[in-house]
Amino acid sequence: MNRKENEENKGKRGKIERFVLPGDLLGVIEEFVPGDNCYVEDGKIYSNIAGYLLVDKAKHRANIIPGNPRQKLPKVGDKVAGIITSTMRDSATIEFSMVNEENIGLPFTGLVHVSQISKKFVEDVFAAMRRGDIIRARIIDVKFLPFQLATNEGDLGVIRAHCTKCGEPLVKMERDLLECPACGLKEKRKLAKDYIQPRFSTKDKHHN
Amino acid sequence: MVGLSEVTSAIEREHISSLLVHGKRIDDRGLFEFRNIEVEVSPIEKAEGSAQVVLGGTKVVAGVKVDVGPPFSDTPNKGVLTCNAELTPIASPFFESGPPDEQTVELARVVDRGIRESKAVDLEKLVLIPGEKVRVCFVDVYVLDYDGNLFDASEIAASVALMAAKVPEVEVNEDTGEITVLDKKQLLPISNIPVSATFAKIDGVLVLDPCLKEERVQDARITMTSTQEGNICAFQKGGIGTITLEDVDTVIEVVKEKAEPVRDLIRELTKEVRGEI
Amino acid sequence: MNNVTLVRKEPSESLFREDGLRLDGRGLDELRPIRMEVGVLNNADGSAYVEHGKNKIVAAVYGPRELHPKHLALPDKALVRCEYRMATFSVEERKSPAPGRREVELSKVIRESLEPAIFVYKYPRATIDVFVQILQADGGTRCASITAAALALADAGVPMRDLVVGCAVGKIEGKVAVDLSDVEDKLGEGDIPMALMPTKKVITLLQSDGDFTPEEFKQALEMGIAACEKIYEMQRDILIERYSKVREEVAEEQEEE
Repeated sequence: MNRKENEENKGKRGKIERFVLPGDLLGVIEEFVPGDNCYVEDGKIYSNIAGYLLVDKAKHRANIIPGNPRQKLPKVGDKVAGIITSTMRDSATIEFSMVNEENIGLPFTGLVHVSQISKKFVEDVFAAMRRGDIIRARIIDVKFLPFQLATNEGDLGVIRAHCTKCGEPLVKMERDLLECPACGLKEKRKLAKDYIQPRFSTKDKHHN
Repeated sequence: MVGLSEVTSAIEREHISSLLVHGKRIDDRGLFEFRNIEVEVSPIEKAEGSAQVVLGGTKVVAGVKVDVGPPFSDTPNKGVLTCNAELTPIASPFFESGPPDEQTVELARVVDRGIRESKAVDLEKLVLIPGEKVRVCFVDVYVLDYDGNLFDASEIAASVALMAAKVPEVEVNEDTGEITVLDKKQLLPISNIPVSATFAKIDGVLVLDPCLKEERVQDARITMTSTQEGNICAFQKGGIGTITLEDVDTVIEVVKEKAEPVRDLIRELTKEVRGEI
Repeated sequence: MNNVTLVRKEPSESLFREDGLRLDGRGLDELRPIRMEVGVLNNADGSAYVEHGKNKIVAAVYGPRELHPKHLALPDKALVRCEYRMATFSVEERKSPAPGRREVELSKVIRESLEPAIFVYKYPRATIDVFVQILQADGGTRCASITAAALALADAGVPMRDLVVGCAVGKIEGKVAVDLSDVEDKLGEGDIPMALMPTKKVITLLQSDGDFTPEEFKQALEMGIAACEKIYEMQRDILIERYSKVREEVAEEQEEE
């Protein structure tokens, strides 16, 4: 079991009772409160996944810890990285397939609301992120697709950007300011601390 | 998939290239080292021949079906051999079912060339009635798990499946053209064992047998298939990057050393069915 | 095949041996040997491999994941998609790689046998994809596919009301028998593929072809349910085996706290 999993199950105290499968009867609602990964039908509590029944005697709560620790569905608190596919004045849409530094395959869609971009006031998304930028963000809500994201921490924000005019990778000049090495255009972004400085220009990338 | 490759190339590429500068790879292999190869011979009883190959995290199954049919009109005195590949959606979240795409067709054709041009199967011995009836061999490769380098995994699977294949003997009545399938089985006529070696070029560095993470950031891909005599029977450059003459020299040198152990493995695996080759 | 006469040996006349057992030595209510494995693939979120007789089946599950293209997404629940495909070399005569009508129908009935068990309303606008690849077919592939797909769903951690388990019952030479083999399926008088949610005792797949009296049909259902329950025990065992290692680690973790 990896560390992430341990963190997640922290605070869920109790004794591992047994391994259960979907549909296994755990008890009746008079006995426990149905916790994680349980469902109730006709006053009876059942497991809805394959995992370990953990009964918290103090809180009279039954939780199931997933048997397979490699579930990939992103959760609140996960750090994701992806590309901005569109921006509006009040929000940016990103498609991300990197979750906690792991490539999860097909991308999910997330939205960064303008109020969640930075600790400082940002009036217009355009002044902080633009279409084609690669950003790192944190998930703050997963109730519905698209997920809600925030970039208001130091290591979150834009990690790579291209010049809006000529498409060159932009070079970080100072905090939240980028410059195009080709045309000299200066652009503002909400940058992550570890913005990836371009190592070569796209114009000569293929001259090996 | 808008810009997915850009995202991975920005994040994963940094990491992979920074290791390659020091001659290291993300899975701690040498630059010219194959991953572990595991082969199961004849797992599919209903196929005439079959093989499952696990190369690192890549898993493929090849099956051989042999039929009787007319030869191609331009090669009336040769049997027919067709290689086909299926990138099944169970193998990767990025594979979709549907008619074969570019990637699938390239894979099938490179594997096909390796087998055909090395004369792995002696097609002339598959003729039953010249110009009319020949054996038709279908080699179908199914990718079950994709962790890079489908070419080499598929080539090994196809070779082993063909070498392990047992086809029913037939009796040809030359007068009536009637072909009777007998109970007795025979091996396919095999006269060479092609072995392919695939390289990824990342920031100017060549690595053998790229895993998926390396493949995702590669600039160019080189596949070279060699015969047991050490000749080149298929070569394929892929990807939008470029390769140099020095790269080709390196590939040829590495293949000299690395292809033979794979060929020995294939010989060893099929020894029980075929005897020494 | 054009102009080629293929002469093949006829299969033996009776489907029963002299001692009254079936050709492969089974009684009427006996299953073929079954072997299961869970978590066999790296890329899929959940996966399973099932050998049922000579059937060899790999099932993979992705999801819940975002649906592409997005306009297919359902506003209130997850879309469940299923694809059943046979390898070209899975049958005696090479099958064309393109999916046929049979594969399309089986994809649909397998999906409809699994979806009742899945809590689709937990994941609006998402999709859960189930892929089944038949590597070798030996009669009763759709039922074994359902057994495998349910294991893959459980492995992926998809929330479910119950597992699903499939088994076919048929009629050979006037007798109702479970789990027909390929030859019994082809030469027998009928086949009833069924699937069950085992703890709820509800049927999620029921088809039939051939000729059954109403009494035979009812008897077949009862025998099918009993057979499904046997397979369900195997599903339980393999999932426990798969996760028992994790269980020890979890237990240690709890002791430390």
